[in-house]
Amino acid sequence: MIEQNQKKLIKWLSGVVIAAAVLSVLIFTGVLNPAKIKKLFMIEPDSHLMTNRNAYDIALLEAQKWQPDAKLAFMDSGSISERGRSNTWKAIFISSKVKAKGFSIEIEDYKIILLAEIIYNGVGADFPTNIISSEDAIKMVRATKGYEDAEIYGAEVIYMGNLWYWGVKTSKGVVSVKGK
Amino acid sequence: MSKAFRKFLKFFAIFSLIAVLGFSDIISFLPQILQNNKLAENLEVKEAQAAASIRATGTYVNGTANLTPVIPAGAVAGDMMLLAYGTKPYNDAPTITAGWTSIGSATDGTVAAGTDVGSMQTRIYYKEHDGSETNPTVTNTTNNVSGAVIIVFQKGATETWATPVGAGGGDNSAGTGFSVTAASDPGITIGDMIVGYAAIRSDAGTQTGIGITATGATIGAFTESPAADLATTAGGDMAMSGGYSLVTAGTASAAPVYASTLAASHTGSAFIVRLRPIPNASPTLTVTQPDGTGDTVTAGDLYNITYDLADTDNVVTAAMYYDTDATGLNGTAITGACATAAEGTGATCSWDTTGMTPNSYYVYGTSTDGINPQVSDYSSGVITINAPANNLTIGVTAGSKTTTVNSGDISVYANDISCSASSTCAALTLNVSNTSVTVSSIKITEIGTANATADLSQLALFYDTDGNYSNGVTGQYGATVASFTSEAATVSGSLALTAATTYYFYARFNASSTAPSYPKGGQTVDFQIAANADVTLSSGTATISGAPVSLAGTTAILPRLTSVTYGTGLSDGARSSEAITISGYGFGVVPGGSRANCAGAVDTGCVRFIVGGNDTVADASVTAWSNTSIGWTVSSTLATLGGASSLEVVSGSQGTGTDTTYYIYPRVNGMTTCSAGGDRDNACGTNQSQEYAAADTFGLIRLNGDHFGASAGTITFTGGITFTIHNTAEGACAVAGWATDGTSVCAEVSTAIASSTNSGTITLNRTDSKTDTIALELLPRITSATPTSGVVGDVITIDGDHFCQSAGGCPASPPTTDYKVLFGNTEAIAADFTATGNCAAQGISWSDSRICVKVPSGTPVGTQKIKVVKKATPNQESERENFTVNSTVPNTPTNLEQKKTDIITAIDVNTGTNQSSVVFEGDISAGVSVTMWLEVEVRATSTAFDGTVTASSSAFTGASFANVTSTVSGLTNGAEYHWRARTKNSVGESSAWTAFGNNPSGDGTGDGSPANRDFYIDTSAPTISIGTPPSSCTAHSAVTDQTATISWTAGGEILNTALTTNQTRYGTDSTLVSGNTVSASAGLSPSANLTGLNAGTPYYYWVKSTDAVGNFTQNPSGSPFCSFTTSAAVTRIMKSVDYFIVQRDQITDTQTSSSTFTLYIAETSSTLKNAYVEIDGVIIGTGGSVPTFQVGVNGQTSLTVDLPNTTSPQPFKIHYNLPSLTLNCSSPVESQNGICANGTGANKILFTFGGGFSKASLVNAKMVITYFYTP
Repeated sequence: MIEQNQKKLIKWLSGVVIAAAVLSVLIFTGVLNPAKIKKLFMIEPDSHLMTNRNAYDIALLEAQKWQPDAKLAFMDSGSISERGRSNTWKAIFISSKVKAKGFSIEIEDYKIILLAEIIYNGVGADFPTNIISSEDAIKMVRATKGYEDAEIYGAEVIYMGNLWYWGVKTSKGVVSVKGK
Repeated sequence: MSKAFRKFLKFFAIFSLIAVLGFSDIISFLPQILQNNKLAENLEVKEAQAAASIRATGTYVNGTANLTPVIPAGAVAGDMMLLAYGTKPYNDAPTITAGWTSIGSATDGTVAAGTDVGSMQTRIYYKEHDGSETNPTVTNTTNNVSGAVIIVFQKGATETWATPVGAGGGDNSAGTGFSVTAASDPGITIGDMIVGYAAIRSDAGTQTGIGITATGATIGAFTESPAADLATTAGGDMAMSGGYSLVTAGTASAAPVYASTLAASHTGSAFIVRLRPIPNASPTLTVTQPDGTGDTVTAGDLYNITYDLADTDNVVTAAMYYDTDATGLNGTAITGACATAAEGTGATCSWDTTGMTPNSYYVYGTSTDGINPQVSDYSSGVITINAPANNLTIGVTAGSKTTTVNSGDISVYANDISCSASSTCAALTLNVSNTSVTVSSIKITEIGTANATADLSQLALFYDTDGNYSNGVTGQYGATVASFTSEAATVSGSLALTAATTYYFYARFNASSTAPSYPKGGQTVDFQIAANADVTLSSGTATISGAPVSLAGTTAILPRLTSVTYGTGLSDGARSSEAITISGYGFGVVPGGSRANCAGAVDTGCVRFIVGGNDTVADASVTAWSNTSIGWTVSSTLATLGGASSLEVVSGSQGTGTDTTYYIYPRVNGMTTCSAGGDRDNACGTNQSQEYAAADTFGLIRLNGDHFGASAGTITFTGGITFTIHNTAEGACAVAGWATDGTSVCAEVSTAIASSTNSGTITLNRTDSKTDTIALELLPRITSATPTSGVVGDVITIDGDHFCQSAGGCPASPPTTDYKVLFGNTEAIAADFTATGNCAAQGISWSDSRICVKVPSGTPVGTQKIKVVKKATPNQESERENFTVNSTVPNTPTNLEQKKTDIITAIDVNTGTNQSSVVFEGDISAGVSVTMWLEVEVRATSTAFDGTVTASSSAFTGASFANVTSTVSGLTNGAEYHWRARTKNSVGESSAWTAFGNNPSGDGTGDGSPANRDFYIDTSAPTISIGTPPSSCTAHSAVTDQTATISWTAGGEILNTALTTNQTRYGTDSTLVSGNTVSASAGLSPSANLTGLNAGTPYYYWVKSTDAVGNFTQNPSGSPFCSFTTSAAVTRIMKSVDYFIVQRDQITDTQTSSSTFTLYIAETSSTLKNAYVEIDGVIIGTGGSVPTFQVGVNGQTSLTVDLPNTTSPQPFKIHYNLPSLTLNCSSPVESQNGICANGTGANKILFTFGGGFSKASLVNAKMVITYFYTP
């Protein structure tokens, strides 16, 4: 019995030594540098917030309960982080079955907090998977001359003229960005 | 001498020689002699001699100056001209025209010149006539006398003249015999022409019997020429004669002698010249090589023939021949340089033996001067010409290969197919030297960097014999070889090569293989015959040499672009971020990191644009790169717009031969629109803007993207409406106009868009007509709100554009979820919208351009901005338009006053009125026209306001009324009041109360403080008690002959109101209808001094006291009035006193001067009766406007007078009566009774000059007063 415990201890210590050696090699060879290590363990402060895709995925299920052919017409972030994330998203869906009406869904912290059919006039479409993210839209706004330092208030995505547009609301007005 | 005769002489000479030497001995030597032309020629020289003959003789000229003898007529080119010249002094050194040569001169001594005396100089010049002669001049340095003549001789046509030679001498012996032996023998022989002239010192020395002799030679008869002697008496006199003789035989062995007989005994000198024509000489030619030694060559070699060729008097050449024997001159002419070999000793000419039949040959030459018979000479030995070997030479032309070949191209030639000569056409060559052979195969090896085995195919050879590809080939050699093996391809065929003919082989191949596989850009293709064994023969034999040979130049493989994909919806380009694929051949296999290398080796490369801005696609933008395909993404920062023939692929530093048209289209990625602020509550939404108005920036949009171009494009909207480019950086346009980096453009949303349009498409048109679009939604815009102010319920017409979401989609019953009109924060409700008024025509309350709406109930008064909303989510609203909401509530009355009932007399705050009614007045107004009135609340100061209206004015309808009054009666005497007012309208609204005067306390605010008094009521008059009139009155006292005092006591006032006015009226009229009313002192015990009364006279009077509010009492109120009588008159003295005031300096400008003076009154009880100022002065005016003078004393009304208007001094005098008999007196003052105002101050007099004043002097000023007093 004692021998077995000793063997376990030896195995365990051996594992620790091997792991330490591997880690040392990775660090000394530069495979892992402080920046990478930091990145590995760093959690973005807004990681708990929802991307518009997160919210859309949640909202779409509810919208399709409203009307199976529900199409997204509009999404709004409310306040938004620089990475395009928000704790609250509002989405409006439309349906060819219901004229002049929309279905408004508000999602907060991954939970639906409001469902309502509203009066709404607008067009909608399937929200493409390859549309740029709100984070990309914000980055593009940042790259626009004069808006490098603008305060970002929020973002909305709207279907207009057969294209999706992001509208990034800033302290200097709304900057639109084509969705794809 | 004829040719036949010369041959005869040659034969004769040889025959004679044979005869001398013995026939038998010479006969065997004869052939050699006959062949020895030189010997023959020498014999000919000795035997044949040419002869000169006379052509013409001139005429003697003489004189003491320079002489110009005449060339006789008939002289022609080639003739020899001799100029005989005699002169003295003997030692003169004459010169002659250029071209003439002095042969020499002679003299007979050194005797100085004189008449018929002196030694003579005889000289002869010569010149060969050149065909165009002028008469020569002999020029002397000193000249006593001289004479000259020209004699001309001719020769045979082929002859030349030997240089004339001569010599002379003198004869200074006495006697008439004249004989001169020349100083030397000029070499006289048969055929020579002997010319001699003698000059004699006197004209008497003419000659006869002239002759020239020379020992050993037979000289023919002497011909005197000219026939007559020269005999002249010019200068020191002289005679001259001479002529010529032909040597007919022999050769002189001594100097010649000139002899003659003189007509008189004199002395002189003579000069003899030999003329000799020389016959033409034949050329001489000797061929020295080949001599048979070492003279073996191979046909085709060059051989130098060596020879000697000369001609003494002609330029000749020799023609060379080769002959199989050395006789007969019947060989074959040698072409080239040896056909006209030039003169020279040991000279050579090169003989190209190409084509010579192998054999041994003599070489001979011939030459002729065209005069003499042809000469010739055979070489002493032979040249042996051997046949050449049969060589097949592999070679290559100098022409360079085509420089580039597109990868993937088929049937391409290694040579430039437009080349037209071997110097420019790249070809491999074969040449067999002597005999034909048949070529059965040619192996071509590719030695460039291209992998021929893998990537090349279909090698074919075409040939011709002129090296000119462009004019066609003779045919293909063998069959096409499908593929290379180990970088080589062997072409098999059968081609008989004609000897000495060059065959040119052109290579054709495919820059691809059937794999398929293609050579890479930057690789090279180079064809070579690597070894001599690579050319094989099927018949004939030859030594093959020359390999290895390679085609000249370098052929590089170019990448070839065959197709390229375009962006979505495009056919000639792409936009940024779009993935593009280029297909083709020879791109190489380029790894990342080498994909933007336009100047690297094979397997590096780049994609670049060379039109519309030169730029290379970044390495990072290239996603894949194989030999046949390149994938890349258009970057927004790619600095090119592309264009026709713009896209080039470079591989291994080689660009595609044909560049492809490709455009980088503009990409409108988004837009920026207005921000919140100013008259916008919210920013314009995504792709939303209102139309542009110059007053704001809300209608500006900035399109963002890339590749817009830097300028000059256009922005249009659906329907072709052009947006104006906005060139000021403001609003949404952080960058004005077209950004220089092509990433943005600022535009004004056009007002030309129909109001019914809700959305559309903006098109960015680049200058090259490349476009991109973006959607735009139009926000409502208010252009006007009419009226700009009103009250709740007023209908407002809002004009603007884009009020509806779609054409015909305007709300029928606004408001809705989307459609709203707000006045500030107050939203209009359904009842507020109306289709009447300005909207009657459109029949609805809300159209795309007009909304009619009432100011909603509850809208606060003041500026309330109107805003039109046409969509709730996302928000679409207009900017805000100012609108002022007026109130019907009256304004607080202003300008409050309290007045007596005459509505004129104001009752000052905290004062009283002697009436029990008070009129309250104020200005009333309202924001709009209403019916309103003034309300007052009047309360005793002890009572606070409670809101109970005491009285109201009449009602008025309008917006503003002034001086509205409300009267309150029945007020209590002795009571004190405060009051306030307000305005009230007919709908029950009233303004706030406003208290009158400084009366905040006690006005009902409940602060507990007593109210301040606004007014009080005092209707009680004062009481006066002065006894019973007329005689028992007690008010008068101190009655004298001139004065009296009236005084009394008043009472009965309330509220401690002091009397403000006390008066008395007196006079001698008992009714006091006439009399004087004078004021008495204020207060309850007033008093008044009466003066100027008449002595001993009854006077009547009443007294009157008035309080502050106007209550008064007069006593007695009517006749009879109180009375007193002045006392008898008292005696007084009248006195006038002068006070000299001032004497001033001259005054030179308009000014005010002043001076003071002091007044002293010594008498008591003085009474001033009169006072005036008298001024004397002198004035000078300007002559312009009238000068003026103003004088005044102590601020009393001044006197202004005009002074004389003259420029000369004028005196003036002015009297100024003081309006008031009041002056200041100084101590000692006994009395101030009516004279002096006080006893301390001085008096001041003012003088002011004005108008056209120049200067003045005041001579004197004085005051004169008159008064009386009681001593």
